[in-house]
Amino acid sequence: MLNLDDFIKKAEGKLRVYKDFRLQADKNITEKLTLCIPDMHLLERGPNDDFLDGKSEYEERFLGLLDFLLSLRQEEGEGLEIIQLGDMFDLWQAKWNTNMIVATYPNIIGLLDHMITVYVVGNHDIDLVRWYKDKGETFGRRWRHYSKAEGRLRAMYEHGFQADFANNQDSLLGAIGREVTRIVGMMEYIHPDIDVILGSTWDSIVRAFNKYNVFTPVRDPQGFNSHEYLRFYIDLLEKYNRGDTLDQFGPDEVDLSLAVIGHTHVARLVKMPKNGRIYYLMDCGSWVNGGHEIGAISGKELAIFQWG
Amino acid sequence: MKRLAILFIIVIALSSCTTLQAPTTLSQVKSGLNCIQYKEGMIWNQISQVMGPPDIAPIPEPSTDLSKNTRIYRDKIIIFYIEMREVKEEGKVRFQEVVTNIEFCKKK
Repeated sequence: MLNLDDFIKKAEGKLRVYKDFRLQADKNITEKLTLCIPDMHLLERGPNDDFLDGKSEYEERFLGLLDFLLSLRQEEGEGLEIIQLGDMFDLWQAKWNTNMIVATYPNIIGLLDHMITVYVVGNHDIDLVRWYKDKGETFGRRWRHYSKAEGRLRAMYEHGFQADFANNQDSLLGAIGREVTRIVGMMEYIHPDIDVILGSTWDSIVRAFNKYNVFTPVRDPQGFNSHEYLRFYIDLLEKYNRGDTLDQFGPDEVDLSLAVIGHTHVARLVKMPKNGRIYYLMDCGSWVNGGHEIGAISGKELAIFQWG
Repeated sequence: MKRLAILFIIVIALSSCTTLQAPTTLSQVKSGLNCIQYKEGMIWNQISQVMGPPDIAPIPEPSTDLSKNTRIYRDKIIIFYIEMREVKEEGKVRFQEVVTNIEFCKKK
């Protein structure tokens, strides 16, 4: 298994640790070099295409990453796992569906398929598992993915919308969130950065409420939360570790320490001790509006990198 | 009565004339069109550059992957190039028209 230092070396200066998001877990998380590509939000170009963000060099930059990953796949074979964490397509704003997005980005979609990427579904491309729900067709998308080390599940990979009350697609609020996104998408034809401005405003409001601990004063008396989904995911990992889920895994097979997500578009790597264990949350950032991050896990090593 | 008969003949004659079409050559038809010849394995962008964006882009069929798609144009012109081909039917020489080329066209 390639360690993260060798991974950086092979990239020949294209990879750098994003902020200081690199740490060593207390146990092995994977037995393969596992790379996680967060939200891409591919669209049919146009002013609301946040992947391109009006800059053709962003597509070239992403293709550069994929070329590198393809050469790594040829060297490492089964020792490399590539996971796309959902929201690969932005079907909330697409004129059609995936059809004309494939026509717009054939190299990106072709290379990801060619590298045998594991695809997790996001809220913006959840239609992929809904179109033919009755026939069980999901176009290779899965709700969640896991990796093992020492014979037990150690990491869980999902998009992250499941923890977001305004974007959980099984709730009414999630449906409202989708409509709001559509409207903001239309507004991007007038002002291409309106989504970024409104998103920052919303984040400021939520941050202010979090700072003064308005939502959970009893549960979080310290009034500080390093990631808004941390508690959700620690609860979920604990639930799995107890065997308290409807999945096929018994408690002997599960020893989860890490949740890997995207969705927020803000990369972070946090850890938190609870009940004698240490839990980790890796939020891999995005490939929209100039974000060019990937998450990487190799054994005990965890990091978020920026490419380019 | 005589006047009515003349009027009837004029109406019939005029309506017959309107159904007759002046002979048109292929190059006359194509002068008002942008066309592209279909060849198996051609690049989609070549089609879309001539035909523009499709009118309908359906979702992919189940049991395929997302890279297998169909695109639909409404109200476009198709030109079939036809030739006669000799065939044998029960030992006898017969002829069939076959398509040797297809062009998709859009009005300029």
